Amino acid sequence: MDEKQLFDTWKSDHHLRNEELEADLEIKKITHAKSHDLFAKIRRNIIVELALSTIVAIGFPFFFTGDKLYFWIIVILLACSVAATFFVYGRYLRDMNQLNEVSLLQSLEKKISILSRYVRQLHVYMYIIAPVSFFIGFSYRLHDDHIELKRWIYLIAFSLPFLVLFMWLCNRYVYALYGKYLKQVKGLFDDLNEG
Amino acid sequence: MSGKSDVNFEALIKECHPIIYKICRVYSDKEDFDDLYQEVLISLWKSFKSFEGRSKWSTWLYRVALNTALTYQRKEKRRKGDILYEDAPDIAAPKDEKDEKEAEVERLYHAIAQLKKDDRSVILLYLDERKYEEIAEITGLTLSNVGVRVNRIKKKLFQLLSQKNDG
Repeated sequence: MDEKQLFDTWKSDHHLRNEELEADLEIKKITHAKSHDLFAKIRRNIIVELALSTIVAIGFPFFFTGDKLYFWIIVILLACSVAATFFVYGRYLRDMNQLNEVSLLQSLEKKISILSRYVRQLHVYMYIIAPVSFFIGFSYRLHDDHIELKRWIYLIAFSLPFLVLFMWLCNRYVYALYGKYLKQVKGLFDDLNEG
Repeated sequence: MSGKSDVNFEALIKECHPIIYKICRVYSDKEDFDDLYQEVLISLWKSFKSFEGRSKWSTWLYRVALNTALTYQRKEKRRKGDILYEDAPDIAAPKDEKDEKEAEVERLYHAIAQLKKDDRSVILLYLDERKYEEIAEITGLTLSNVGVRVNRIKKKLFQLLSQKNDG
C-alpha cells in the first residue's frame, strides 16, 4: 500500500454516511445524559461535598445553642472551613472547565495536576484526619468514662489493627479509582511529550 | 455558526459525524464504540455552550473529541495494555470489490489500533488531511515535532500493513 492508497482507504469507510446517524441522534438524550468520564464523576463528588458541608455548617451550630459563646465560635470556625472548602474545590471546578479549551498536551497536564491534587487530598483525609479524629474521639470518650489505664491500652491495641486495615483498604480504593488512571494519563503525557 | 441552541448543535454533529465516527473507531472496539461515541457527544455538548470561536470549529471539535477518546476508560479490561485487537480481525475472503474495500478499511483500522494512543491521534489528523499547523495546534506539539512524528508513524503503519498482507 502506498500513501495515496492509504488516504483513499481512509476516506472510503462506508460507515461515514450520515443516514446511519439520523435515526440514532437524539439531542435530548445527550444533553441529559450522565458522563462516565472520571472527571465528570469527580465534579459530581465535589458538588455533593460542597452541598453537604454547607448543610452541616448551617445546621451543626444549632446543637450548641445553650452556650452563646460556644455557638458563635463554632459558627465562625465552620464558616472559615466552608469558605476554604469552596476556595479549594472552586479551583478544581475551574481547572476541569478548562480541559477542553487547550491542546491535548496541555489538557493531559491539567488532568495530571487535578488528579494528583485530588489523590493527595484523599490521602490527607485517610492518613491524617481519620486517625487523628479516631484518637481524639477515643481519648475523649475514655476520659469521660474514667476508664483505667490498663483497659485503655487493651482497647487501643484491639482497635489499632482495624484502623490500619481501614487505612490500607482506603489506600487500595483510592488507587483503584484514581491512582491507576493517574498512572495511565501520566504515561500518555510522557509519550505525547517525548522528543 | 452563530448562536447556541440544540438545533445548531444537532446540525454540527451531523456535519461532523465522519470525524467523530473515525475518532471513536480508532479509540475503541465494536463493544465500546457506542459508549465512547456517547461520551464524545456529551463532552462536545458541554464544551459547545462555552465555545467562543477563538479557534476553527474543526480544531475545537478534534480537540474535544480526541481529549475524550485519549483518556476514555473502557468498562472492563478485556485486553492487556493499549492494544485493542490482540488478533487480526476475522475478515472473510472478499467476494467483490465492495467487500475488498471493506476488508482494506478493517485492516487499516486494525493497524492503527496497534499504534500507541498518542500516535493514533497524530496519524488520524494526518489522514484527515489536516495541515501540520493545525495538528500542532490541536495536539500542543511543536511544528517540527509533528513532522518528525508523522514520518515515524507512517513508517510504522506501513510496516504493520505489510505484515498483515504477508501474514
